[in-house]
Amino acid sequence: MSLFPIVARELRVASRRRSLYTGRTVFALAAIFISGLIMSFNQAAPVTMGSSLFYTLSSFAFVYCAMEGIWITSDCVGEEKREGTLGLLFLTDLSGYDVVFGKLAATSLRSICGLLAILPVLAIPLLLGSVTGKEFGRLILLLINTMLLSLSVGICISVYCTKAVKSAVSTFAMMIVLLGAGPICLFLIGMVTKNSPSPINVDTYSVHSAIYGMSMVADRAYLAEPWSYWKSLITNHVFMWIFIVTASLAVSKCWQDRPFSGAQLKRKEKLLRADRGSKRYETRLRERLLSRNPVMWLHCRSRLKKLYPWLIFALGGVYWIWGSIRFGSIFYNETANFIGTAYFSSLILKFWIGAESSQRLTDDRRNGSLELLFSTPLRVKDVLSGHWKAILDQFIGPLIFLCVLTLFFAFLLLIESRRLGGSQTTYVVIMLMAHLILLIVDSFALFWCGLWNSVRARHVNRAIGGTLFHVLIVPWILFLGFIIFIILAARGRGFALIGGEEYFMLSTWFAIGLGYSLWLITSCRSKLNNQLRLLASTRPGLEKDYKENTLNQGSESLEPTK
Amino acid sequence: MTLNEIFTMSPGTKHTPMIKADPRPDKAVKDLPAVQTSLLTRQYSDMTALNMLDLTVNRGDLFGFIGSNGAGKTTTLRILATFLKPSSGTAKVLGKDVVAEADAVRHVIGYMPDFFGVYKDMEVTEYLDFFGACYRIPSGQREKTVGDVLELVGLSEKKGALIGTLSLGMQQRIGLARVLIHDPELLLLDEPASGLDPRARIEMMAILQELQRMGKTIIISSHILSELQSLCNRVAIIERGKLIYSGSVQGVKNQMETSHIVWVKVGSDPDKAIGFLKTQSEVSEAEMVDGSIRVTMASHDADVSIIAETLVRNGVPIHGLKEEELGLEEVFMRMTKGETQ
Repeated sequence: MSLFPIVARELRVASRRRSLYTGRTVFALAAIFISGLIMSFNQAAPVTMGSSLFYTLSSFAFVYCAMEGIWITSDCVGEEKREGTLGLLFLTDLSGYDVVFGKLAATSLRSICGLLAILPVLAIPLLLGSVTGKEFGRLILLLINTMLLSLSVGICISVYCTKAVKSAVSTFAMMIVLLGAGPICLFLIGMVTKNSPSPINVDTYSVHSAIYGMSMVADRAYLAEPWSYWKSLITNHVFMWIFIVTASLAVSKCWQDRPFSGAQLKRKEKLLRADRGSKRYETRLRERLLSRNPVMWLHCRSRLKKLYPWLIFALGGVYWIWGSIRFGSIFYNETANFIGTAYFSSLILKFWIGAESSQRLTDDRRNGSLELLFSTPLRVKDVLSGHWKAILDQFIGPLIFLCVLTLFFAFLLLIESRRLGGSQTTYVVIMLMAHLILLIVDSFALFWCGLWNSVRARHVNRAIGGTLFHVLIVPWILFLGFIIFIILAARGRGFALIGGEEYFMLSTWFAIGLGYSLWLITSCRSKLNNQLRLLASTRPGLEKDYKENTLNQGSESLEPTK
Repeated sequence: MTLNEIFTMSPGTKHTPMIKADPRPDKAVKDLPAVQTSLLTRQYSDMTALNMLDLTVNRGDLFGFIGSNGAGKTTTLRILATFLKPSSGTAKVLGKDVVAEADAVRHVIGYMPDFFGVYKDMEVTEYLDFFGACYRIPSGQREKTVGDVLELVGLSEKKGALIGTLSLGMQQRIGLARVLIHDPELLLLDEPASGLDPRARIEMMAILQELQRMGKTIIISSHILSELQSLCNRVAIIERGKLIYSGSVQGVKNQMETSHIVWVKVGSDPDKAIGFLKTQSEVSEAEMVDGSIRVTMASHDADVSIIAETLVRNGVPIHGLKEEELGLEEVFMRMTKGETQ
């Protein structure tokens, strides 16, 4: 049987990777950090505190499990297809199942180890008597099942997609459908009929969702309707097998290059024209941009790419229209709507900028195109400036619109605050302003950090993940760490925080966010300027030699000084 | 139309030089070798990729760079292409230092790595137009230049095709067209024929010969030594980062030939023929090998015609007479020990 040899080989290879062990440590530390945070803030009795610790940690673990497929498996087969190595596997006696299980074994090892690292921390509430062993067991079962579902969705989509980002987005979309389609339908039906859904409806529409299963983990919910949990678990498990079987059947057929039929070619041409415009437009754009910066042209050829970010505001507009119709003028008096719109729009825009910047150079470096670019008289400065101009071309409109929108919201809230004299509104206005400044600075940080990660990472998805983590998550970790430190230090000296410290919190958050982003911009920009040329001529994975040489010989850059 | 005509003969299409500060090399610069390295060393942490390499490539040479895998060929080419900084020593391209004047060097070289990616979603003309812009060729001139280089590499008919749809051989030719787009004086080609089928290889070699006739200096690293033998006028053999030979192809053959051997095929009575040959003072040894007579001459400059003369005089019909010539592959095998790093 050839199943076990390939699984064993992949596991052996995976077990030699250092990232497996560092990842495990990082997950354990993250879980300890979150626990520390909860324990510091929560002054309740141990049983209550344990309960909140359990549910908070399990929520994080659930999101981790549900989204793991996006980073880990969504490009594992697609990458082999791109590099033309998938066919080599099928020249042997291997079948589709062997390949899919082998890939699953190799990629899931790190994910499973990450989950295992969290479990001891997750078991603390068990010791505190906050949750029962059965609750703990049900949670573990659900988390593992959700992780396997996510990984199998990723692997199935990677069989059909060749592009890494498209595959990751499709996996994300599929997971959203699997987790939330039923509850969303239920919500929409309730909204249309203006009736709250009956328990039978909830059960019918939500049983496919692991979130529903998650809500049935606690003894109280489980004992009331024990089968609901198991139905959810089994449904998800069946889904997982459907994805695995589909992937196994499809993978053995998708690796060969097949010529396009006439209709397919016509469709491709139509799509290309829709994206790039007419030949005349394309030629004029090329002439115009090539004389400005060739690299800019390389990334500005798509017209649709520039339009997509406006979808965020289109969705926001739909939300406001819906709110106006549903709630009338009360909707406009709700401060949360203003803050929510500004925050969500900027968060999605930041994600987008980070994702775009992080996929610029990874493939170019891997396939050698970046090296060719540097064999011309183009300087590192020209290449970076071309990328910057392209990103600006794509996002400047939405960014300006968002800034104006935020300022408009702030202005409306300020008028409201003057009229009612509320200090809370003033605080919100200041927060919006701080948020606006951070949006601009973070956009710069996302670009520079994204570009740096894209040249360093082996896979586009990892580059994107790394960028988003560095720019959007790390400042929060630093902020929370700092707050914990302050609280613990105050307690140690016998002081207590007595409220009214929201301005302190806001300024700390702003200072850490701003300082960190500025440091990231400076650091990544300097690294790109000094090392991009050399990295371009080094294959990913050979940086060790490069590092040693840099240490031995100082700067490796052959960039002209003038 | 040849590239010479494209770039120099036709006034309407005359190519504007890229280096504004140094538009045309003066006589002193023209006399300089195309490439000169002196004690060139590249050290990695635990190995020496290049060990005090002294190499000179003259202008107009089609220079073969031969060595086993890991011998240091690609490292040398990458240093010359300004991608790598030497650990010590110097390298000059057309008189310009690859470290101190890297930018100027990039203008005068065309570098084609052994493995290079193409933007598969681009049309052939778009791709070349893009690289033309990278070399700062004025936009008015680019269209014509792109058409001309495509004609040279025989891809005029494919100018509207997406690169991703072309065969490997065609993509390699596009790579060559890219290298030529700015009319460089020196071409650095790392394994340009690797992965190509015999026809595509022959076509590629023909293009290179044409380019040499136009006065380009070409350094080509390849493992296909039989092709280099007929293509190159000079070769360098490198092993473990050390240069073990640099000079003409014939020179290396002469150096490695331990004896002068002539193969003779006679119509009848070979034993009698061997007897006649052995009586000659110019012949040191004659023996029957695989149906032919292997004649070892007494010295390298011995007159081979003595063999024919002796046999004809004694009435032995001659069916064939051929001097044994060492192939480059054999020379390479004899010169190197097969050591890699």
